Amino acid sequence: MAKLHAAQDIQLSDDFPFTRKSWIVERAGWGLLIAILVAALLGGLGPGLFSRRSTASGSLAVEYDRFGHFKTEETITLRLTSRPEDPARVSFWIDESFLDGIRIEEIRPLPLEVRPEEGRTTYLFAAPPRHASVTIRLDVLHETLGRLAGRFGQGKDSIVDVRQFIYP
Amino acid sequence: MEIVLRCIAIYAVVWVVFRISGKRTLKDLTTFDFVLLLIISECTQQGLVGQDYSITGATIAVATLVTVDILLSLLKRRFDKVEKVLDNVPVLLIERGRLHRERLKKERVDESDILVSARQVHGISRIDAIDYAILETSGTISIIPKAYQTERVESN
Repeated sequence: MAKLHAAQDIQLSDDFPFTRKSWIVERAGWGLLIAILVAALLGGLGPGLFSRRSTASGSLAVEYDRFGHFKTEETITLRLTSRPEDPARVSFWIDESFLDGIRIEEIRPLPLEVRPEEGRTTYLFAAPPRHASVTIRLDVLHETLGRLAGRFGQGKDSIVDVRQFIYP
Repeated sequence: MEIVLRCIAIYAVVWVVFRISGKRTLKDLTTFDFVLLLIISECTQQGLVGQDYSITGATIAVATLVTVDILLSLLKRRFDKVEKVLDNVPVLLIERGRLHRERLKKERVDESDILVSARQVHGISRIDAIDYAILETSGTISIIPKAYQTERVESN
């Protein structure tokens, strides 16, 4: 219970110096709320205007959000070009360090084959006829907090580093 | 364990947001304010229990929130400073008939808010009939009319 003291002729637990400090903190807090809104709109706290990142290497391009939310679904989009040695099929792999931090909810289209390999998992798809490239969408759920880094690749030469930050 | 941590985090976030929004934010609930409160509770619900829809999860969440509240109330009783920080302090808006305009502005209160309280409780319709107006920590405005002070001094 706050101590009462006589303010003029009434007993009141007021504290004007504290109230002044409270006003300053309140105004700073309003600034913080606005900063949160702006950051959210721009994509600094999750999906937003500038959060989408696209990186490519050789025949593989990966598009993802820089910032994600814990236990929240996100779509990672991959664009793959079939290789001349196997024009009927395309494949990509994800390394274990990235797979450890996510749960794949759905792969669209469904892969023909999922092949576990040492330190990574490879997904194989049928390439549509007369089309050299396909788009694969991975719906993933983030299961770790903080920094999430890993690699996506196609074969040995097309390797893309993916770096995300997952907010609680 | 995750639910306990989530509940503590959400409790802290909700406290910070309502603390910095000021005393008057949800005072005199309008229909819209009421709906806003419901929306806020809906937003926090997922953050509290995540994907856990079990009775056990809900029990842990409720137990955590109530326990944190009890612990903070004990801390407030023990330490004045904690009580001030958590609950804020009352502010004198009118002191011996003198209006503190800067305090009104900072607390987002105007003379009409004071007059509303004065009319409702004491039937006072003029600012100059008020001796003290106090913005309480709950956001209500307490009014002490001049006549009451005079009577009290005389009875002493």
